[in-house]
Amino acid sequence: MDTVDKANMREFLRSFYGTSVDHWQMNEGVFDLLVRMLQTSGRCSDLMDLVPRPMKPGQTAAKWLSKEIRSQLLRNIHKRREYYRVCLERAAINLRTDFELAGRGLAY
Amino acid sequence: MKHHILLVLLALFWSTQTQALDLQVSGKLHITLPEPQRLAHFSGVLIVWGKDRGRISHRYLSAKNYLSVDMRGILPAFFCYEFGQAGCPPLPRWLQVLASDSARVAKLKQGRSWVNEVGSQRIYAHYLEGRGTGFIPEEDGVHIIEYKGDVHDFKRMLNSIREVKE
Repeated sequence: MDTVDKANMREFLRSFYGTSVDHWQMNEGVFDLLVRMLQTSGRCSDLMDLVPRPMKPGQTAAKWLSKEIRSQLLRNIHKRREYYRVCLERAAINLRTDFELAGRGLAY
Repeated sequence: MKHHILLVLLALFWSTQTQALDLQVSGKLHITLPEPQRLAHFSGVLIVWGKDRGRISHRYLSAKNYLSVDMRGILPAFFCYEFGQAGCPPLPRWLQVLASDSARVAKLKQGRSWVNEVGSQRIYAHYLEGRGTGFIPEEDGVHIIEYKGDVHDFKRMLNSIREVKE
């Protein structure tokens, strides 16, 4: 991920988790969790349309998606973050601990 | 000499036993965690790893901005609707719709759900695909317990939650 992708992802996650996100690394684990958040919510289907399916079993989103799709996903999320925040909020509650661990480079 | 050997054996026995941890999560609520191995505290989230690499975490979320709504005073009722209980206190229709929508996103109809009474409080819990979440709503916020591991251990942990009057 380049610096723009990381900045977009951090800004979006800050809307759920506040300033604790400032201590996190924006790495592939965090991106995978963000995609899992989209998948489990079953909402924001316009975003999920960007993700080619089915993903191979055991494959992570960061490795499965091309750089262009990852960047587009993060750009879209950032552009309409207020809208997506509302539709993903409940899913974000259940993933907080995983994000805390992944953002510190720990196994989750 | 025999007494010395016995004492050494006893000391060895106790040193290999890991004590259960009594975790106090509020003024009244306690959880017993068997054999904790490692603890971490990140940004208001307390994480405890168990012997079998399962883990439990605890955090407290304010009702002031729960799902972007100020739910101070109504959070216990909101969870009552979210978990589809009968006889819930009255809530405006739009909040009931939000609760059922929240239940759908959390996939409460899949996996297993429990509602336990602990003293004056209720624990709403859900387990799906190796992960469990317990919610203990109060007037001003909600205790959230996230669990990763076996369903039986999750249930045992839920049953260990008790109210202690000090």
